[in-house]
Amino acid sequence: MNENWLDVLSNQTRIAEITKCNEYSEKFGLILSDTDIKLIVAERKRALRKQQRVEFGSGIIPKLIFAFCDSDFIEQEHYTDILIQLQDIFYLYKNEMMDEITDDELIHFMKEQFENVCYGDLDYLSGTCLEIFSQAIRAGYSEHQDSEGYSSFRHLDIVPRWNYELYLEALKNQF
Amino acid sequence: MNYKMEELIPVVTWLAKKYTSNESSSVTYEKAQQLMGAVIYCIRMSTAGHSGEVLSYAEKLSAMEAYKAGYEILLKKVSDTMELYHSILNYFDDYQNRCLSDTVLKGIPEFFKWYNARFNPQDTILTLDYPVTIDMSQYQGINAIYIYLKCIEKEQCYLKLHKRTAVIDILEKYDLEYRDMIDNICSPVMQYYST
Repeated sequence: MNENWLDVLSNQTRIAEITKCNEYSEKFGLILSDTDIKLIVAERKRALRKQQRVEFGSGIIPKLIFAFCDSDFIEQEHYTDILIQLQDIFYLYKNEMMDEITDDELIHFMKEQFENVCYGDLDYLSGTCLEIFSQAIRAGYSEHQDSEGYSSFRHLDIVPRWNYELYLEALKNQF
Repeated sequence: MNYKMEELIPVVTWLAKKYTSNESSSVTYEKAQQLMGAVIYCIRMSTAGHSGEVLSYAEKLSAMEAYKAGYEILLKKVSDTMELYHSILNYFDDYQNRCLSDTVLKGIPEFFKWYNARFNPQDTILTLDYPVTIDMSQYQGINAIYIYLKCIEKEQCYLKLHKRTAVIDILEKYDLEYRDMIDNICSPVMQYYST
């Protein structure tokens, strides 16, 4: 069978649905122009091909927009770029987690970590939080299903973080 | 009945959404190809009919209609295959051949346990190690199992025409180690009685 049908399936993009998201995101000062949307759609096609995934319907972008547009760490200047990176990260980790996680669970997890742990750092989100979480999912962790992806990381977080005592100690060592 | 890709893709999309319970907007290439295979398998079922005869329709069914009709035929086939299997079990004799015993008594139940008529009907699951006398390579999924069991049924009916001890004698003369062989046990018996 001609494998191009996989591309045809993924090419079904509802640009109008992405445009409609502006009605919500503009409340937070974030708007996508037609050029931005075309770029996101082109990047979506590239990302799907890279991850060997097929998307049907309007895809994940509207959900990513609704989840992230109220972020403290996203501004208009980098909005399109960040959405493209989030899209890439999303498809990558759907594969890494072997589709053992729903779209909503993954997006909830990503948003929570992006805001509260990564402070807007996408490299940290992808390279640390999601990496650890995906290892846990592959090993059989499933508690995220009860919370729809929220508050799933604290049980798995093995990275030592700043706390008040550590901060004071670091400050003392400076002087 | 041939359908164009543009006609099949909406059916695959519908099936993919069902597969993910609408909780995922994407699947892997591998999964998409499996689901396309499932759609095509059911559509072929709808045009071939339950008994293999070619059905003709006054008007062409849409791909979705053909898929749904084929899926219903598929479910009936699974049910009929199970019935066939249970009827064979009433008189089945492996004549001490391990391959025949393992394939029919252990393998076939595993097929029914794991067979996924909705999302992977084209998967035969089993390797059907005990060889029957027809070429099985062209058959897949429940069709393969149905045809295979029909062959087993015919073999069992034939072997039952002769005394069990006579069959075992013939098989031992054919190959003293016949109990461990992966050959068809009916062929040597038929050959013996035809000479």
